[in-house]
Amino acid sequence: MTTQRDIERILDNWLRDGPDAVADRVVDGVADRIDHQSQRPAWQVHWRDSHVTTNLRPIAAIAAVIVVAVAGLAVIIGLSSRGGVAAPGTSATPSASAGATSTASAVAASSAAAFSCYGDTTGCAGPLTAGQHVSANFLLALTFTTPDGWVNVRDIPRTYGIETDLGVVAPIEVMGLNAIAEQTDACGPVRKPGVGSSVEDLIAAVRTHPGLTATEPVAAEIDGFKGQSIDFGVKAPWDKRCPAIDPDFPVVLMLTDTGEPPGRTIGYTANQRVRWTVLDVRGETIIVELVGPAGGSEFTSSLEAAQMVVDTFKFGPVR
Amino acid sequence: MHRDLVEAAQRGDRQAYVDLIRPRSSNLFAIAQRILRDVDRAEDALQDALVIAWRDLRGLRDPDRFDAWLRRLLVHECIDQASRERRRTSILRVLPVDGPAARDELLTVADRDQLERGFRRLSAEQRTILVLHHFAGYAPSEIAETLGIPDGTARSRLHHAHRAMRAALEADARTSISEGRPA
Repeated sequence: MTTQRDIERILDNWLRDGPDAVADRVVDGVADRIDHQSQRPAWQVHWRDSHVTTNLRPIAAIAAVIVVAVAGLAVIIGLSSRGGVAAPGTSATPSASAGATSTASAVAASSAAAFSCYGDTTGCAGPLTAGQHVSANFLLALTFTTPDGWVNVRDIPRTYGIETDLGVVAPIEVMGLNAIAEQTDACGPVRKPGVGSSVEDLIAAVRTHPGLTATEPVAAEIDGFKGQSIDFGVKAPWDKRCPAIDPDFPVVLMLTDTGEPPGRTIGYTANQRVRWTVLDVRGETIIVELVGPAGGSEFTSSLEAAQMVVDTFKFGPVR
Repeated sequence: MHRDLVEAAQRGDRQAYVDLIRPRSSNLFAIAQRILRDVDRAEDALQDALVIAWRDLRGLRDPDRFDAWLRRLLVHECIDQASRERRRTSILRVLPVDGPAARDELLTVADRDQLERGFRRLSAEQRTILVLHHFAGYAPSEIAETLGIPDGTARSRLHHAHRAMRAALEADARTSISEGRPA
């Protein structure tokens, strides 16, 4: 029988063994990678949908394998004349988390191989060329048009995200399989019991949340699908903390998902202002989320370029 | 100096960021290697964490908290990597311990193999908690801050991690005996 004291002593000794110096190439590789990686503005840095849930992971993995195969074939037969803009990555070793593409463009696919999708996700397209694009993994086929400079950072069944660092422009996330989150001390993805997921339920959750100050909702419509839009931010007296999300300021945990177990944890902090447009799209409640800096005029101006992209949205059938 | 480098990096100075992370990278790598038990994966986790840190550096409000913030990013990256690995492989493989020869003569090769097997049976978070406490020397309150959990939860999880490690070692000993191998 090993006692508690034995275990502690053994672990102290055993864990001391092992390498203590990292190879220079690791930091050199970071230097190479950040040459092509822009920094996100402070207001944009917040906890996002970072994990593919276990039940969705095989779908994403299969999609990634298929797309990489298609991309490879396309390159072989010489379809690579349309230039991609993605940065080459320098991984310490071939990374298991390397992204794969989501669009039909073979070039975008090869670019995406070097782009790390946000969080522990795969399947995003990475940098997008100007023109029309379609999601590959999101639960609805989402078609939209962007100018140059936009990047698809997440494309998983429950979330599709694009953003640009060309100016102060709100990132766009389109979210399905939504559920209102419970504010727990552990700050994990926990659904709030007794709250539904209709357009009205989600808007009401924002309006009545004690940590948020929100505008009156207004009627909204995208691609002929109707819903409501509401702007909100974190209220000054709110004092709930989630140090892993924001070590300095209070966090409102707002959204998780309907998966079993839920995997999404979305929280908002005081330096952000948010616009949710919540739509009923063929029976699915879809949130189009824009996040900007908290200042009123800054927030408004950050939405302009993003709204131009949102205005091109076409929602296809549920996959 | 450290604060100056953080602030310069926050303004987009890439060289300042490299100068900032280079002297810290070995210590971070050592933590990652202990959690992941694999040099290549530890290097990958460290590199990914450092790129994420660059990307999100402007969100760090207090430059003096850079080190704690960076460690937090690293351990979350390690937990993610370890969780991915656990899902990919259902068979435990025992790899030789990387690095220099044992410093503690009390631990035999058989002991180390048994510890390796036992440690790999733990969840990624349990491994992280044990490494932060026994290798990095973190108090439970520091573990709590790093993992973003309440103090009490950190104490409880540390306790459970110790129990899990004991159970894993005892299970391994039973298996070894039943297979006719020395425990």
